[in-house]
Amino acid sequence: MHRREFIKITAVSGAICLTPSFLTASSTLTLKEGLSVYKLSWKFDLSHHSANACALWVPLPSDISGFQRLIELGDSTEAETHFESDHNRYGARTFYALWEKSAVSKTLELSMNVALRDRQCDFRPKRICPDEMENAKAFLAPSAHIPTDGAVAKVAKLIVGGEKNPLKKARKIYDWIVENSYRDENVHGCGVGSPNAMLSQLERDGRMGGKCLDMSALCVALMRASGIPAREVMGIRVGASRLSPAFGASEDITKAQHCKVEFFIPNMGWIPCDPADITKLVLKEGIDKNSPRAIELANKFFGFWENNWMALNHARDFDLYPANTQGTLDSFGYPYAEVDGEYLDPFEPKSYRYTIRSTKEAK
Amino acid sequence: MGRIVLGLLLLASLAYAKEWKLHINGMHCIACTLAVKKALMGVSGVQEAKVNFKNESAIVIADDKVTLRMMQDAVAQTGYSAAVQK
Repeated sequence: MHRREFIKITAVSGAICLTPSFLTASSTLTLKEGLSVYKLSWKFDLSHHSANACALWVPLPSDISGFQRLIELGDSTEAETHFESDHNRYGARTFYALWEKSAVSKTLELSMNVALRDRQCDFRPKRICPDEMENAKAFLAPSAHIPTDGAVAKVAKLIVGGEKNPLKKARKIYDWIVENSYRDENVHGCGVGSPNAMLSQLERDGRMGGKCLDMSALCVALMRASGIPAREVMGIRVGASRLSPAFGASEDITKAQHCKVEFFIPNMGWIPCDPADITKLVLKEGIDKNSPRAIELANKFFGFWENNWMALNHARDFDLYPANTQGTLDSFGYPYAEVDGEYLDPFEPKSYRYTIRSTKEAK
Repeated sequence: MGRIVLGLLLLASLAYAKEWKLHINGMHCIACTLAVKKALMGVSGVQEAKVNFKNESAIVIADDKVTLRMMQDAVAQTGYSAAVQK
């Protein structure tokens, strides 16, 4: 049975949901003022595993009030079981598909439209609802890959010193990571995201090499150890950047995954930052970390993310739903698949056989 | 005729194959299973290796000539350790 379904969150209701923050906001925000819509197509073909059962969990974009909204999601598959869910500890939106051994066609196509807007923090105090304050506390706790004791606690104390203001503490940690780390292109995917591995490297070599998950995880661990709720946000670049080619992607975004950081300040809410992209800028543009351009963008990226990047989730060290065979997942920025219970390497999309494409909708 | 010979060879290899159940120590995420599997499959005579992160285990089908030590050495090269599962 060939099945094609479209879950339209809207033409109509999406526009309604977008209305307060995206479109009307006192009639001051128009499409030309930072709102972009991207059409994404995710294609998977696991049919070459002809004698095996295949299961696939695809991370879907989250909704972030005022900045990001999934406005349409469609799927096409012959999988015996397939559904959308957010039944996991972090509410990470997931599309799940399961093919029995006997299935001939093991393909899935997801199409989605996502509206994105620049996220710029003005650092002005505002009212934060008590629920959000309470929920943020969960992001102070350590997890399997985010320790807050030992070397992390020791280094956090050295960086922060006697500073008491949480925003200034966060800035000190952000600056310290930018200063002491570099982008290592030999690292697989987004990296493993182990703060202790980064700090061991620093102790051994005097600096730390890695990619976005490595630096983001270290930033999160140091912030949590300093009493600031923080989390990695897995995502993907969906188009060109206005700021630098280093931050952008072309239409084929299969390998454009990128992880950022959010930290929580009690009277400001969640604030984005991205130390890893500054190290990428330095490498790709061949500029000095202390050059005016690097300093300008480092300042900008503390409290900003551009609307060519789409957030997926902030899940870390969590269990998928439905349960997989391999157990607790480290992070969920890449499509996760198992063939007869064995893990498929998502960093090798050609052998895995998946592609992700993105086109920007004309305004 | 060729197919019969191939079939007989396959049967012979299975007849002399042994299944090992190993405990793998040191894996910290699911991606580690890829490195362990690659190491085990790199041992001459190993026919199949299935590695599981949750159970910290590997099931290996290998020729009779493959020893525990050979597999332990290969796994150790990747930074993990292997022992026979009890």
